Amino acid sequence: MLEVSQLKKHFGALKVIDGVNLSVARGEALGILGPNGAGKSTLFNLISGNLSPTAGTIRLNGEDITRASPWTRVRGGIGRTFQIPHPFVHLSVFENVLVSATQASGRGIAVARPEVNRILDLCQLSHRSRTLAGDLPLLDLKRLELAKALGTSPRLLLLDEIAGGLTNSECVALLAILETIKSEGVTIVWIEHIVHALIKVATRLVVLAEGNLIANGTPETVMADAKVRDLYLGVEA
Amino acid sequence: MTGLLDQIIQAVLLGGLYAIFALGLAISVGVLKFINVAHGDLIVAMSFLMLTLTNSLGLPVPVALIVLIPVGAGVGWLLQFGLFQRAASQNELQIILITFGLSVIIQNGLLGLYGADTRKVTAGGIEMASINLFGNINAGVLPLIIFVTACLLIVGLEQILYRTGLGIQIRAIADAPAAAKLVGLRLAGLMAVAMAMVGITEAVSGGLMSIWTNFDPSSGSSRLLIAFEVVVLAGLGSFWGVLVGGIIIALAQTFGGMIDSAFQMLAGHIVFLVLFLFRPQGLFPKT
Repeated sequence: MLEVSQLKKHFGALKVIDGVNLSVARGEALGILGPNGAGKSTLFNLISGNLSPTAGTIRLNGEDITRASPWTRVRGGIGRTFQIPHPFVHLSVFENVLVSATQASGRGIAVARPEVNRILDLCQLSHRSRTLAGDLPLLDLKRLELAKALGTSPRLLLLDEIAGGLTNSECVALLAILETIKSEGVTIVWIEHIVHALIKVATRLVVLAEGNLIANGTPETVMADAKVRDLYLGVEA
Repeated sequence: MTGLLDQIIQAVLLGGLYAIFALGLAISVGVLKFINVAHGDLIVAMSFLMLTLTNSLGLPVPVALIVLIPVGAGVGWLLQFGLFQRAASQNELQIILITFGLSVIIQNGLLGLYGADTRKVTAGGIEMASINLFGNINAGVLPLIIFVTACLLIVGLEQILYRTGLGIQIRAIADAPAAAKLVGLRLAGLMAVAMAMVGITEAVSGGLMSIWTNFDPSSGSSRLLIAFEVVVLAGLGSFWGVLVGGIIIALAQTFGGMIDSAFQMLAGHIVFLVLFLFRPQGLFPKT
């Protein structure tokens, strides 16, 4: 579904992404691990079109989207959440999701409403439907971030540390939502530091360090990899 | 006492015209995030276009007003897409300077086309017609029409911005343009639609102003000042707040004029400054 080839992003002499090759199959749930500054969020920014790569190509369903605008990619089926939620603070929770749901399809409010309500139900936000997004606590902001991404009807969902800052029980609730999304056939790519949560959803893990992929495989293989234990987990091989 | 009540009613009705002046600027500032210095000149340009449509082409006033609306929308859309959007991608100061330049171009263009004379569109009997509200209190039909138009514009704008998908998307880009881009909204297109809405308010206010009062190519700056004061006074929380702001400025001018006719405009500015000092966020700020 997603093919990233020799992708590079340099900021002057700083090589944040330096020749990453990555492919994600339809329906797969891929986890991305890596220490802070490894280039994980930059990789998402390149895939979602918020940054232009220095070199390399990005293909979605075989189509080259390397230079496509962010909105073209959203319409092409790429949805994304951000590590720091980006809600429309003066809009209600319902309206926040409605913005995504109406833009992606050009549907009017009446047509989009059932889908928005379904997403709010799924993300356990129905009771907050009329609340202004600016008044939400962190957990609900994370849920809203996810709901907004789902509003665009994504086939590929990029999750950037969606579980960050949540308590254990909140994390469990979030995992249940992600499992439902996964079961609907949505391809998931999830950057996360909370490994125990990540491996409950991810069927494959890759590890990014200093702009390069240093491991790729099943969660068990990757977590046992000597380089990963050394570079990421800080455990001597 | 009747005289005072009569003055208040006339001021409230004048507040309707001021609110229409300000609605477009409120959208500019609230959604597009820039102060359009040419706002008043665009209103005056619409007044001159109204003059051409009625005097030169012989269209009846109501028809000319209807013709102005799509023209205003088109001018707004083109300005945003062709000019402001390019400048907005540079920096905030640049776009203000560009609108300042646009203001100079419009003023001089109008001066070249129509000359410096003061003009007014004649609408026939409706200008002098009045209806009895109660007791000895009468209200002009034209000011009443303008006030009702202001209310209808506000209702229309609120319906569009709060009840349609397009409007909610426009509010989203006003709230957080970066976040809007991230869920796939096309900012340039939506901003052009918002500017088309501004253009409609400019067309309506220019058209109505041309019937109510005299205008000349340099009238734009005084309209901009009124619009600016009304928007700052109202805050950006509600279009109804803009109507209240318009009424407050009109009331201040009316009471100022009762003290001394030379004091009329100054009174509006003083009330604006005093309210601004005590409530800089406006009377109806965005919550």
